[in-house]
Amino acid sequence: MIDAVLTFTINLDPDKFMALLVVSFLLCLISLPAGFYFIRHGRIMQDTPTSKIRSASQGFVEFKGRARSIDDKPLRAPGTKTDCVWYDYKAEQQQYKGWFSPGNHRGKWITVAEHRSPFSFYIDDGTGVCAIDPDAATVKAKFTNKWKQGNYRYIESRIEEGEMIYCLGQFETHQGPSRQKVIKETARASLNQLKKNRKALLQRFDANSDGEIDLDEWNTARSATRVQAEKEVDDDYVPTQHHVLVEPFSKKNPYIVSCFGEDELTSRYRLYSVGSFATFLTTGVYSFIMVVIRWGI
Amino acid sequence: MGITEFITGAVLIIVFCYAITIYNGLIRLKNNVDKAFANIEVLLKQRHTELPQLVEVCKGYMTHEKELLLAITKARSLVQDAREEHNILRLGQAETEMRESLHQLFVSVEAYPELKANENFLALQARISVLEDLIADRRETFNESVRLNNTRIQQFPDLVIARSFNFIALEYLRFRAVGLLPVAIGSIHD
Repeated sequence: MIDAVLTFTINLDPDKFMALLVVSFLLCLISLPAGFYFIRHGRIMQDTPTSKIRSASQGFVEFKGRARSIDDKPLRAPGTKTDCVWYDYKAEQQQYKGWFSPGNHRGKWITVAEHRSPFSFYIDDGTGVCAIDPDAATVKAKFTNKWKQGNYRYIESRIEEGEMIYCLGQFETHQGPSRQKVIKETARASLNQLKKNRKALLQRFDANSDGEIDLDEWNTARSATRVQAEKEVDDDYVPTQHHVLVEPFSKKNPYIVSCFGEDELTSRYRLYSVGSFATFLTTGVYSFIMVVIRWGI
Repeated sequence: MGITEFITGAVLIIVFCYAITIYNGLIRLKNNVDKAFANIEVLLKQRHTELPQLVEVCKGYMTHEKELLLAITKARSLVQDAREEHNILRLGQAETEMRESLHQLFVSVEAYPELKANENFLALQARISVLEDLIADRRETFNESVRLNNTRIQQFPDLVIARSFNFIALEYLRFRAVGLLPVAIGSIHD
């Protein structure tokens, strides 16, 4: 085997030899950091404790729970027309051009349409719900359909309602408006209503019956709407809270939404890292041999 | 340089970088534990400020429960001391005492209908019960972080780096979780 590779390398013409050397060297350069990237991400997954949504602190967290659509309105996947909370759809056409000519009996698959759902969905872990922004996330879906129609092929991945999901990302809580703000907004809305209905405004606040609202009367109207708004907004009003999972601030931390469990993902990453290191060693040694052959160092 | 030296060099580079990754991973685990403890501390501090108000409200009505109220005050300061010293073992014991005293208090309240109807008391009781549940949740996350740290430093090859750089096994936070009130939990996210 080694002899065959050496003979093949020695007999290459100079242009192909240089091209192969560059490819081999680049692969060697890329595979080392790639190997550590996979190790690092696998370890982050293993080392991050699972939090409960109701008590999670702001920052980088891990959640496990079920996928839920927002307002119980699932999306419709464009290819299979299946209800889901997230989808990624791709249509490819087999094209015969240049090197991929019909004579070669092999076409090149060109993407002609693709759509990835940008809509948020919830993760529900039984203690609370958190919206997931799938935009920047690495999504690993379990339900995948592939089918062909003429010279088109379609690939669709989905996360379905109620499916168990595993997420890693930046947890943020957005507070709704405070009681004071709600009162202010309600009072302003009432005043605007009154402004539109001049008859009612005059009837209620034109104290001197001159058919006009002067400054004092206007101030009375403002106070009255304020008092009314205070009555309308409950004393025990609690601002609403919306939890969202977004891309981590630190680019070193992964943003993952996966239908595969933590163990499955980490073993996959471990395998990728072993593959990367094997590539690093193989291409490194091969590049070294090529340099020795060419320049005899 | 021969092919053997080249391979040895490449393997050494991988081993060296891997050692750095392990070291950084252990630091991350230690920081996760610190962060998880800090998240519990935030809630403990909140409860620390709520408790005197609760005791004050109860004092006015519970004339025959002075010892119980004293036990809560004592447990409060024990929790405070343990928290400031970062003594996990003592914190666990103090927290158990605190929870048992609070549980007793909320059971005793049944004998004081006027206190039971006091809005201020009800609000404080609800807030403290929510805090207790959140503390229990965050203790789970803390203990999970400790478990991950302790497992890692016992596994090969991490233990080589852990021993060389004195990474030690950390203490779990153990306390008896006594249910206080079936209150709907609104989140407290700091």
